[in-house]
Amino acid sequence: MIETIEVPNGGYRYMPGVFQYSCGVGALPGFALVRVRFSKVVPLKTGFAKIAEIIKADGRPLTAFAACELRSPAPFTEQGFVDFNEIYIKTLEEWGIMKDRVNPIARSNVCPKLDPPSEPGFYAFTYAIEAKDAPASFVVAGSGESVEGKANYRDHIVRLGDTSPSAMLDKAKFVLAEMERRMSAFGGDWSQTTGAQLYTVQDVYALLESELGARGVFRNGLTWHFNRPPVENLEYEMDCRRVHIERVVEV
Amino acid sequence: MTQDFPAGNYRYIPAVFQYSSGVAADRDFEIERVRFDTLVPLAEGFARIAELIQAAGRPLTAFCACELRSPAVVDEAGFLTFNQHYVKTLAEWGIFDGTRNPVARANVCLEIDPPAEPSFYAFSFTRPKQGATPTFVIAGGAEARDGAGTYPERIVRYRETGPDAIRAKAQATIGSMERRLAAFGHTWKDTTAAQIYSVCDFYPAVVDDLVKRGAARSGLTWHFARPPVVDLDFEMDCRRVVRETIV
Repeated sequence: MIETIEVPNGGYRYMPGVFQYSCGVGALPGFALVRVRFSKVVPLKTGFAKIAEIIKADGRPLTAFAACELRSPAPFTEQGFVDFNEIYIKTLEEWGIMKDRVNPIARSNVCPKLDPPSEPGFYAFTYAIEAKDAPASFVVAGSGESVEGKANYRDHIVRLGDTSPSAMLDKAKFVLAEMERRMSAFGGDWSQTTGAQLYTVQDVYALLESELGARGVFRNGLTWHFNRPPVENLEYEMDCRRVHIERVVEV
Repeated sequence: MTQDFPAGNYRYIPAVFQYSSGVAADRDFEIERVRFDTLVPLAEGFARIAELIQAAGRPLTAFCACELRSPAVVDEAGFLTFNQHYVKTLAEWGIFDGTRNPVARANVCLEIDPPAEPSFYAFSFTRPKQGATPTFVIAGGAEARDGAGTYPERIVRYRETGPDAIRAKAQATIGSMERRLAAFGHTWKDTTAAQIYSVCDFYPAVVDDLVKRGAARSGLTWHFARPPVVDLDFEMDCRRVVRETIV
């Protein structure tokens, strides 16, 4: 049984991850997660302001902020990733979400291969609303094919530097198992997802039906973003969710 | 090029008796998309759709698009039989007048876990919203040229499945999406979603034909499914819808 922790005044619980992000979030009974996507990527600072506006307009406290999907200009170096995260978590501390480097927010952060944004920004975010009798909802954070929370990613990347079909299969298997482990913390599995996203610039056709199809990932289609994971040498990232209300906000 | 359907507060691109090529909400209306958490067989689905539309305070004529899943690909005769059954309900709802059908549709056959009978995956309807942003749904289209002739005569690179043939099929489909978008004065940059239905490796088309043209701006939602007519290999649809729910 994986332990999850309730966020005070948030309406959700999270599965602990690393200081940059949690492994996933699930709405508490009486609450539902809502996903809002921006019509285009909004730079970090403006995006946080817009998110605050939307959450408040819905009568919810900023602590209802539960997950986000980011787009960055290019894969970070290990140090660049640390620096970026420091800026990002500052706002979470100001919002009273993050204390003592414990971060409840689930996150995906990827880098569009073509037409990337000039600076890191928000693609989408998720927050918890009050919703009596709502079905269970969860958002699982993005994971690439490496172990989180180690001194670096590189030394733990599955089949480092290899993008052959058999290497991509091993990478996919690792990530799929991680998705399944995280979903299980919220009693979830592929039969419950309403969305699954894949971030890769590799051709993974060879493993789609046999590996993803067989596990039930394709239930609602697989939304493929031609993006790279945020750290150099990672090649395959996924996230998934069970969310019943999704909106697009024009910016 | 587009026709008004005032009873539903939307306009559409006329196509064939079984579906239109796309719908767009009238001013001060918006299209909302509703997806079923599990597939619902046709007759039961129509009943649930009627309930949901009426619960939203809307007439049945607000029904404007649907996404169907069928058990297996059929030949042209089989497709005709299915379509005649499907449009009967639309006629009862006052939407189909016997010749023109304003409802946009995508109908595909899942390669993995197909349903036992034709079923609804999702549908869309219009509802009033002052100052709403434009919304639209473009119907599913595959690599068959418009115009006269049987499917084998109209299918691009008929029965070819090599990388360059798949790319040509994808290009033909993307071109037809763009013409439909243009009929409403839109381009890929206005879309909020694009879906691909194929069991082929279309990687050769991804960079230059999809991502660079802007079709992947919200990702490409890939359904491992076949178009509903035998020998079609690459189908797409797209939309601009700002409110989506799952029931």
